Amino acid sequence: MQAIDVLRGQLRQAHDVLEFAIEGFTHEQLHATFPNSTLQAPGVIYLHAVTCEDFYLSENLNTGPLIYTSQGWAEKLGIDIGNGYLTPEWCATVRIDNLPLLREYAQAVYAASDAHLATLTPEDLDQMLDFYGEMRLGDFIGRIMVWHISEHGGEVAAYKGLYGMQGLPY
Amino acid sequence: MQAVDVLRTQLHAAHGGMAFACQNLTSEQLHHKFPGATIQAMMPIYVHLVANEDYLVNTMLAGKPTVWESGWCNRLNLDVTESFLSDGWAAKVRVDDLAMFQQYAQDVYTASDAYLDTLTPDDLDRMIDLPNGAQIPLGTFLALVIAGHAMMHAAELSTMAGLHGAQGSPF
Repeated sequence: MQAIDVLRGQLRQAHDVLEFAIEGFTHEQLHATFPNSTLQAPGVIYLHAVTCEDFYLSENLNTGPLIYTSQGWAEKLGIDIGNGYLTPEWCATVRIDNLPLLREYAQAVYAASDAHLATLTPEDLDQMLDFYGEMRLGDFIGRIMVWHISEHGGEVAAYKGLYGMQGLPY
Repeated sequence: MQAVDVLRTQLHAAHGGMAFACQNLTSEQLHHKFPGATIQAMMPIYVHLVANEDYLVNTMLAGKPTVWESGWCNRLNLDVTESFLSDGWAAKVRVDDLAMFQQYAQDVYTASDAYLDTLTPDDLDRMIDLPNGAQIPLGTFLALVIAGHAMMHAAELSTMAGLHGAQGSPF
């Protein structure tokens, strides 16, 4: 088993968890935060997780322009995706009125990630890239891309549990 | 880069994330279950994660006693025999000495590192038996069940920390 097999499997699992997690919220719950919490709303977290993966592909893995802008999703969804950070100011502006369409965009991002990872060789994973300091490409995929989606998938799943729905099933 | 390097790095990150989420919270917050929620309090989730890693790595994969059985069972007054986060089990979990629990956790993490150090790339392709009768490659089990499980629950802990007004996920 090669490292890239581990990374592709984990990224797929993380996508599956995030997609499982985002199902079942009402429109109000998607946009609601808890009093005195530092955590943003689940819909905003979901949007951030998906758009960040798009940014990672475009800016860090150099796969081309953002899928969001280059494949028509910006016009279809009409959401300002900001610069990739969950700032309170940006979060306050986010409004998700068509979650199914947003999830179609997410599928396009996930497919692009898997297609790109499928092209990588073991030697590629040892190449260095700059992301707040130098790191190997394999570490970037494992510690940033996979971790980021897993982290936010867990957060959205936790929100489901807080609203009395089934969160992580294990 | 070897597959085992990926797994080791991710486990370290998940272990660090769990400790980070629980720092600076009161014992009451760590044991608080939000009203109407199906998600358990932070401490049962933390215990569940560490005890599961202990059992899965040391007993299921390495065929040895757990770190818990090797001495910690006499020092921490906990029931770690349940694999699932049931309401009944979670309600009984009480950790009054977080620092001591984290010493146990550290011993579990050290044992996990030692186990990963023994693995070759070929070992990761070896099929292992799951309790439900299915078989999967060892590498898949380590990636999706052990590391994946740790990452997801670490995320739950950071969520709960954020809900208590502390710093959750920093990114």
